[in-house]
Amino acid sequence: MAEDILYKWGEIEILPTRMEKYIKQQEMNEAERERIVRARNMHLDWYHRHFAYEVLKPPADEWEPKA
Amino acid sequence: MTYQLSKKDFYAEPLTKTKAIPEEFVKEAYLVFACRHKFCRDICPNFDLTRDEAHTSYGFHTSILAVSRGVGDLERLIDDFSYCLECGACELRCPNTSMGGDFYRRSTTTVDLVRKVRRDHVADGGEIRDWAAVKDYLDEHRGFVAGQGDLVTKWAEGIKVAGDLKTALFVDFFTATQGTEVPRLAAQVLGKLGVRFGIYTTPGVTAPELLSVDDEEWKQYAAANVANFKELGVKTLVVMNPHDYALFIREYPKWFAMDDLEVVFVTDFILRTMKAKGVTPPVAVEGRFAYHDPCTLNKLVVEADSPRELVAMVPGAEIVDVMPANQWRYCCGNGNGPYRKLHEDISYRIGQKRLRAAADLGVDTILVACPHCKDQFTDVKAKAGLPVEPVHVLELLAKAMGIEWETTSPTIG
Amino acid sequence: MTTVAFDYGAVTDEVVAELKKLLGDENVLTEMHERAMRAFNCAPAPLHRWEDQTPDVVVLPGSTEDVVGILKLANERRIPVTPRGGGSGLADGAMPLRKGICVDVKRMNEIFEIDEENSCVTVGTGLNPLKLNEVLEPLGKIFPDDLAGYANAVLGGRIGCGGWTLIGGRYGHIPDTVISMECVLPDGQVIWVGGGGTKKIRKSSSGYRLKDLFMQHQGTLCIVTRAVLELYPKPEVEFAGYFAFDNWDDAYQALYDITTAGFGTISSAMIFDDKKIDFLRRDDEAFIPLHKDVRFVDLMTFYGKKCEVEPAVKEGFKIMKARGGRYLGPEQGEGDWASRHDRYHLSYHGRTPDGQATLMSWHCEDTAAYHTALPGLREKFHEIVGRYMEEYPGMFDDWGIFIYTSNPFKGWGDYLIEIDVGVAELAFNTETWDAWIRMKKEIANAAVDEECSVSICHGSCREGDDDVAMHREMANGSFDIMKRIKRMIDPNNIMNPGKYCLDEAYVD
Repeated sequence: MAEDILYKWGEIEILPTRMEKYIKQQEMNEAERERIVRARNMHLDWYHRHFAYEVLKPPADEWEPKA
Repeated sequence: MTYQLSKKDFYAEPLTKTKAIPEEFVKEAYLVFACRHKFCRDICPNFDLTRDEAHTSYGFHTSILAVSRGVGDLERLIDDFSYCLECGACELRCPNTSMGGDFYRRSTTTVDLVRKVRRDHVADGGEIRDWAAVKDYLDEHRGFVAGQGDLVTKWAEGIKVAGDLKTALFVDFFTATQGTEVPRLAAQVLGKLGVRFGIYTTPGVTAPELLSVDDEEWKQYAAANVANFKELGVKTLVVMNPHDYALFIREYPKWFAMDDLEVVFVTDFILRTMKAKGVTPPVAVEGRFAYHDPCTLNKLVVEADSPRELVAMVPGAEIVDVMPANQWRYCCGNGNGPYRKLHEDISYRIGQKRLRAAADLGVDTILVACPHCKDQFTDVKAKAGLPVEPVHVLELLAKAMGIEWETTSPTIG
Repeated sequence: MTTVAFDYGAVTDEVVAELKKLLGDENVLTEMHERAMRAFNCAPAPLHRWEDQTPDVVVLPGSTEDVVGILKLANERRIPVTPRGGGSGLADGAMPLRKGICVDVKRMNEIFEIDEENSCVTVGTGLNPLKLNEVLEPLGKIFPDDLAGYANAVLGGRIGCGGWTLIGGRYGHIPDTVISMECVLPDGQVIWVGGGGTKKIRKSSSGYRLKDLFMQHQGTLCIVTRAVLELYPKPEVEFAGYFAFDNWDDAYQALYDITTAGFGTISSAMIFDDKKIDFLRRDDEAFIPLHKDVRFVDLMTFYGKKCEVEPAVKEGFKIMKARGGRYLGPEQGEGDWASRHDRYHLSYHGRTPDGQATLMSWHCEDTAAYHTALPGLREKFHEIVGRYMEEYPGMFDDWGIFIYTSNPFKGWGDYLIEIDVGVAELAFNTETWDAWIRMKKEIANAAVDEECSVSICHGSCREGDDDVAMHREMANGSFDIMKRIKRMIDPNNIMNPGKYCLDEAYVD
């Protein structure tokens, strides 16, 4: 990262101290963050399908899928 | 279910015609204006028909920013602010939410904004055009409060309800009076599954329309519910109407501690019960169905799978409709607030467009999971003469569970 | 710019009444906020003088006949007209300079005919490409107009700026994918321009190439009301591969190698430079991690039939790796590529010198450059922005450079070199706005110094760009011809007046 971030429970977010002066955070719990991530992933999946029938995987000898 | 808390404290400060727009609000408005990309626009089912960008998240936020710069008057905004379905599509699609909301803990909250602007306008002595039908609806609900005990349980006549209120069915006034098949079939299905439950009899006024007028009044009813749940020992609340479910999950946690209560949408509860007990519906119902994801589940709470999963469990039944993310652009046209009463014609046309899309799939039934969607589509079908019958998923499930129920669906019979 | 006095008519109550009679009350908008929200487009705006840019009235025509009526009235009364599509352009094409009538075309969004056999579709120009593709999807077809504003732009604006797409290397850009157009001229005459005198013929040698003339004019010649568009088969597969490089030279050479290799299915290739990667790291970790040792990133994308794309991708890997490229994995590729429209421009990306998140508007230059000009321009652009950042702390921010392939149907040729600049738009005043214009002019001049073009896709009619584009870049006689054409077609200078220095057309 170019700047320090918070890393909690596998999720990454901005250090709250960077959101104190000009633009402030809202009250947001983890379930709301998860909702946003869920919606984003739904959107990204849909976007791929919208432009092509299949997303090609990289050549087998170029990338090993994570276990 | 987990409560989703998204709250901006500065929304508590009223916007009035005599005071400058507060600085935090200027930034709030700017955040959406500055995006400029207006992804919020073509996904909006209202904009899809009116094509007026004043009726979009971008339009709402930009007009407030313009007022803050002396270009426009706050009280003149209210007509355009009536064109919001409060469905949540724009909030999800806004890159501020979608791409940055979780990282920055700062997202776009257009539904809250629209309700707030309307409330502040009313508190500032303003009127909302064509509000009479909405007022009548709210007054009708306020009138129900005195006799709600009977009203809220009348649908259960003839059905054995065995249990205490540890697991309680939450049936709001609309569902209790106009969507009675939903709790009726839910109760019968749960009975067949051996679930013991009671009926919560004092829901109060839960209509989201109230949030556009007086959130303090809404909170009073909500506070009474929270206190009653505790007093009555309710541990699991099974909610029939997804509008109410969304309010419990997203609005209640802003004001109340909800840790002791589990709130579950009816199809989620039935699905998990069936899975836990290893029950699958024994009766086949052959058919291809359109399915309309309720906005409140699909776009506000973003937990839309259980109705589809229930249908998938029914032998022979198949949903042939587009996936939930594709349905963010849809609405039945009722909206999650006063929209249908304020804009009857556009509401009808939104519903007509949705039913036509279903008809194009070559089906005769559109399954829904919301009593408002069913009510709206029933009206639209009659007016438009489209050959697609709206049916609640619980009607299909009941049939598949061997429960006697005459649906209006040509396929389910 | 030469100042010329035009005797414009006012938008009086009587004019508004005539417009309402023509279009219906609900399609004539007079409320201040409804007009104010149509003052700007996607580029950083002079918020400090919002009212100056606010049109006097907004009209929402629903048909070609409506547009004819509006333009006839405007021409007769000499009222300035600014056509507005999605309002998502980046050259201020839709920003009224002389107030007047804003013609918002978004109601004209009908799909008139899908001709599958002849692979074309006829649409109203108020239609958004994503919405079009939602309709085409069940037919297995796509209109491949893949721009950053894909979810919100409309065809009218795309035609008005001669739009570019992220996958133009495979499918062409708007000048290639629009077959013909219906145009309403300022005097109300309706013409159809395309291949010769036809609607569905792509290539004709009959007459002048009028389709080209009536494209990319930023609404200064006509309002386009309908268009016939190409239909492609929806691609079987897509592949987006991101490769990390630790130095500019290898990243730059790899771009050349991949684009000149001769692939038929390559759709785009890009470089994210080191400052862009640093910028993305401000919040990129939110869902797509970038390793610390990633300094430059090259992207190659392929679309088409699997039997063609699969072997091409294998070959592409060899080419990237031969220059030291390290594949960043499918998660990166799929996540970033699918979010290509969405995530680069968030205003939270702004940072003050003390590291606080702040609200900045995103600005994107779009120089058209050839390959050998890229290294010099990259350095120059960063140097220019760096200077203004120092002189106006907190006002501007360098959000890095993208380089994209930019020629239709092939990987090599021109590139879009885009420096993104964060701008503290809320803080604009006359002094900082003037500084902003000076910065833009320096960037534009740097492009022209290298015999490149000020704009590859947005248009160069913005304040700061137009002077350089018209008086330097187009000084070879092209601007003279533009002026003659403008005056001939729009004798009263009502069509988006003030853009492209075309007021000079009326200086005798």
